Amino acid sequence: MTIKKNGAEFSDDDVIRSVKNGNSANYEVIINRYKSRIVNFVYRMIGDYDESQNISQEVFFQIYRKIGRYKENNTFQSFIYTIARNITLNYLKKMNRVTFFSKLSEKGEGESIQAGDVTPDEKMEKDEREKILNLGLKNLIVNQRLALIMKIYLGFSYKKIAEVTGWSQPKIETLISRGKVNLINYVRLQEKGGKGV
Amino acid sequence: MFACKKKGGRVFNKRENKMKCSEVILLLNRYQDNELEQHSGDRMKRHLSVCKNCRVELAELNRISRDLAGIRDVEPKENFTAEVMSLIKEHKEKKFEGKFAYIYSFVFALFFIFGVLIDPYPSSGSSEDTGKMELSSILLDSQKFISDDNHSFVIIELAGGKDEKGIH
Repeated sequence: MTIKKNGAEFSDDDVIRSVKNGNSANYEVIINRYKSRIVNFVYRMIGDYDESQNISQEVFFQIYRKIGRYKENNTFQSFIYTIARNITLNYLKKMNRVTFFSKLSEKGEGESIQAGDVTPDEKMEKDEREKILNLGLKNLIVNQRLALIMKIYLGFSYKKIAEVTGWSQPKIETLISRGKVNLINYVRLQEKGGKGV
Repeated sequence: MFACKKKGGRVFNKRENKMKCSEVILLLNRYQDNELEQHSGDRMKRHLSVCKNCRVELAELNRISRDLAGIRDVEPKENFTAEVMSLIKEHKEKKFEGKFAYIYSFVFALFFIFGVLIDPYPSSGSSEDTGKMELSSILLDSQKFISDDNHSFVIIELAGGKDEKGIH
């Protein structure tokens, strides 16, 4: 369902208001608007394509259930990413870390990623680099990974990350900085043929 | 004196504007994330323009950030939205049924309470009389099996009936 108002799209708050008033079918607009970003956020956090779909669906279901708690003066993005973060972290806590990473290694990365317009050699090189980066990302401690993904993938400012996570800005800065350094070291080691961080 | 102060001030400002590499390294991440204040950012720029080592460090950070940002996206599955909407529909139906379940159990509880506490078929006589009548009819039916006249008299008396046959 596409909603238009004077040629422009309804804002998140407009849609949420109508959902709160009983037009739950309009919630589709919110799902379609955010599903790609949520799926990719979860995918980068957990590294499993199928699970990232299930978790993202759960995220949207929980957002709907908790929509009554959303107050319009807050930003809707902070609201949804707080829920996404909580559900993803709960999932990661439940997972056995060893099983999780062995599963990742067996499956390989990027199997569901669509190929871009590149030559086979470039694609192989890019795939390899991306595989290393994904593994490096997943070898970071969860908070470093979360802070990095929010900063680099979602493009959030430290202030917004603080809103979503409840962390202080100095803590966020430290997590991001250490995350980048750890990732640089991991990539260097892998490119030199080393193993582990 | 005044000139000295002026001179001292200039020297101090000059030193403040110069950054050491150790200071730059600490702020490099914030600089790259565009989270530094304007003043500090300008000082960083000045340092980076003359320091090759710090520029190399910054280039490393830029590269890893660019690579991370360049990780290709995955697509949400085809029926993603429809599946979430069907979950929501199920949830709403359950919620609706749940509401009615509460109402049904409340009504049932009311009927039960009133059914136990209030006799829906109140009798015209006293319960003691009703009991006597029921007992007499049972005893009268069984009278034919009793041959002894005295026994039958006693039994009829007990039942409160006035059977002439019994009074001999």
